[in-house]
Amino acid sequence: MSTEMSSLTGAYAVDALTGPERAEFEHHLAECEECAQEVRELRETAGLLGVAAAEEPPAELKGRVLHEIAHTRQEPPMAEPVPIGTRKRREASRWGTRLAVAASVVGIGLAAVFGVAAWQSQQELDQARQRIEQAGTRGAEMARVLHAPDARVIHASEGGAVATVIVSADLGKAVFMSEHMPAAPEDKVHQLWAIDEQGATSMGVLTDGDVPVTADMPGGTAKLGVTTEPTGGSPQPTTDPFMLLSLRA
Amino acid sequence: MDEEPQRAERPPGWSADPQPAPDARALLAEVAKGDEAAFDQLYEVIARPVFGLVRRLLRNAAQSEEVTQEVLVEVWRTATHYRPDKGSAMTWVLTLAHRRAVDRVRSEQSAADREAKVGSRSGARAFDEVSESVLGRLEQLQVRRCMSTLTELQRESVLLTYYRGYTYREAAELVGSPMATVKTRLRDGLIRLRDCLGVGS
Repeated sequence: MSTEMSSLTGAYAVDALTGPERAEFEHHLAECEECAQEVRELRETAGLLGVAAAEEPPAELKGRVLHEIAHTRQEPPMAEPVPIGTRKRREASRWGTRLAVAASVVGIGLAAVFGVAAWQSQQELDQARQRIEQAGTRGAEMARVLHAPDARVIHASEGGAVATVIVSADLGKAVFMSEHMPAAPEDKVHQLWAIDEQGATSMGVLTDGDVPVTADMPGGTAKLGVTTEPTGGSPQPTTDPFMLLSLRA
Repeated sequence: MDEEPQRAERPPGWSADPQPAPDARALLAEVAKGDEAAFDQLYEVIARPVFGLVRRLLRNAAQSEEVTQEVLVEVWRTATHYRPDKGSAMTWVLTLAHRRAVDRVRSEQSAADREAKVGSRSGARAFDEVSESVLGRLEQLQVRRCMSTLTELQRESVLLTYYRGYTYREAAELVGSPMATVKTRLRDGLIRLRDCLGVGS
């Protein structure tokens, strides 16, 4: 570690650096793992000095704090920070914005699932809970696709229905989300297909109610399509897709 | 506390709470999931150190209470951001507390005002005051013992920055030493404390 900058670890650890000097050191810290380790240890040391200063707060403070936290929303966990050196600058930030939008759409999808749950009978509640649990697992899978370096977002709309797909060819996964998708007619379902020059491969049957779905996507997929099929789905599409999303720009 | 596995040398009864305290890291993990009962327990572990540290820095009782409340609510709000691989839960909390209290101290005095005040004070007298009010009241023998192994300038640098919230430049002015010297003494002092307290590898 370079001597001039690294001698600031102590001052930084006890918040004794200000302004540009602090900013400059933080910049240095991002590139000097040895310095970062020393800062962690010196902070830990300073923490013990803090513990040593412990003093009983006024008794009524606890009630006030507990009252306030009961009305305070917690922040979502931070995503793993991307190392600066590996980030694809412009491209990444543009996709970043779109992915943030897509993530909020996932949120809306999940919120719809939760919202529905509030009005069900006990038996239906149990089913809803199951769906929520499934959505929870899928949520993690979705997050993985959202954070894939090659993730792309594609939109399509048909009538009042809007579909958003996030695809990662590297992971071979697609997250399909819809809004205002009309329910399939009686004895019918909507089915999602991966389409290439050879034909269509089923990616699964969609659940009514705009529930987001994560599905395996074969390599070389050019388009995704949604068709209406008999209940249970079909091995091959029996109708023309009413919604098509082209993966090629 | 298993969150601080390296400090085996520390004498028994070191913990801020003499009762076997629930593990702060485990509680913080529950708090991150929105568990208010876990926060209630965590409060019992962290409120004393947070309030004590903030009080050292701000002096004013009402302000200290206000900032302590802000810090504790921030712990609730941002518990999801805590990364166990970056340090112990208590240190994470006290880092938040220290930064908030220092921000408050600095925002209340413009930089120029502060520099002028620092410059006009007698360095020696200011340090006597620090020694009495801080060291005299330190409950932890271990910290006091380790503090006593530091050189005078190392100790002054640590006390003035950590417990008083001075920048190292201000501390240099207070003790009448060059800034570069105080900068390195501050680091040397903290490293010596680290080794004496058995922090890290």
